[in-house]
Amino acid sequence: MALKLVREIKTQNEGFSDWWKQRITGLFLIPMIFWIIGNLAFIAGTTYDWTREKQIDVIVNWFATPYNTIIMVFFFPLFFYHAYYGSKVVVEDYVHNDLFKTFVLAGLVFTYSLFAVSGITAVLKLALSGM
Amino acid sequence: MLKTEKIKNKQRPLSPHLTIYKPQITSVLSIGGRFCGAAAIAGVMFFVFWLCSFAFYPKLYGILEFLLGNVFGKLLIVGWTAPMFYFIGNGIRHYFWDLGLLLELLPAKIAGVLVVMFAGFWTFVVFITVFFMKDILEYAGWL
Repeated sequence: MALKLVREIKTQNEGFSDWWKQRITGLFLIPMIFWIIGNLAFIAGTTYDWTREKQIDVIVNWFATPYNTIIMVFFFPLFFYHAYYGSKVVVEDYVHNDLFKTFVLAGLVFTYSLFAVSGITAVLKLALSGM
Repeated sequence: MLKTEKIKNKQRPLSPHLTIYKPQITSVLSIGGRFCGAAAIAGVMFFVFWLCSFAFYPKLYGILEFLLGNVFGKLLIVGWTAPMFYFIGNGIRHYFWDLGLLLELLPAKIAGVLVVMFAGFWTFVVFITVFFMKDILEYAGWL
C-alpha cells in the first residue's frame, strides 16, 4: 500500500542522472581548479613589476602551452555544466512557479553556454594566433 | 489517484527553512557552501570576461589593467579563490557523505571544521604566492 503510494508520487524529474553528472564533473574540476588557480597566482605574484610587453608575453605563452590549452578548453564547458546543475538545485529550492522556473533555467543555460563558448574561443585565439 | 492528488495539493513546507531553525555549525556551513558556489561562478565568469578582453579587445584590457594591475587585482584573486576553495572542500565532504561516511553528528562537525581549515590553508597559500612569491624566489636565488 505504502509502496504503491510512493511509486505514484515519485519524482517527476531526472534527479538521479543530474546527481551523477554533478559528481563526475566535480571530480574532474578539482585538480583543474588547483592547476589554474596555482598558475594564475604564480604569474600574478611574479610578473607584476615587469614591462607590459613581457607580461602579455607570459600570459599568451601560458595559454599557448599545449597542455594548458587543452586543460582550459576542457575546463570552461565542464565548469559551466557543473555550475548549471548546481544552480538548478538552488532555483528548484527557491522558485516554485513552474513557468517562471522554466524561464530562469533557460536563461541560465543560455548565459552559461555563452560564457563557456566565449572562454574557449578566447583561449583558442591566444593558443593558435601565435603560430 | 485521488489519494495522490490530495497529497500533492496539501500545503507542505517548502525549502529553504532558513527562518525556522536555530543556526548550527552544520547548517551555517551548508548555506555557506551555496553562497561560495555562487561566488565561484561569478569569479569564473569574470575570468572569462577578463580573458575575452585580453584576447579580443585590447582597449578594454587596458582599462582592466589600469584597474586591476595593482594590489586590488591581487586581492581580487585571493577573494575569488577563498570561496572557491571552501566550495571544493565542501564538495569533497559531499563525496564522503555520498559514500555514507561522516554522517554522525560529531564526525559531521569535525569534517565541517576540517573543510574550513582546508579552505583557510589553500587561501593562505594563494595569498603568499600572489603577494610574496617574487620575494621568496629572489631570496632563494631562483629569479
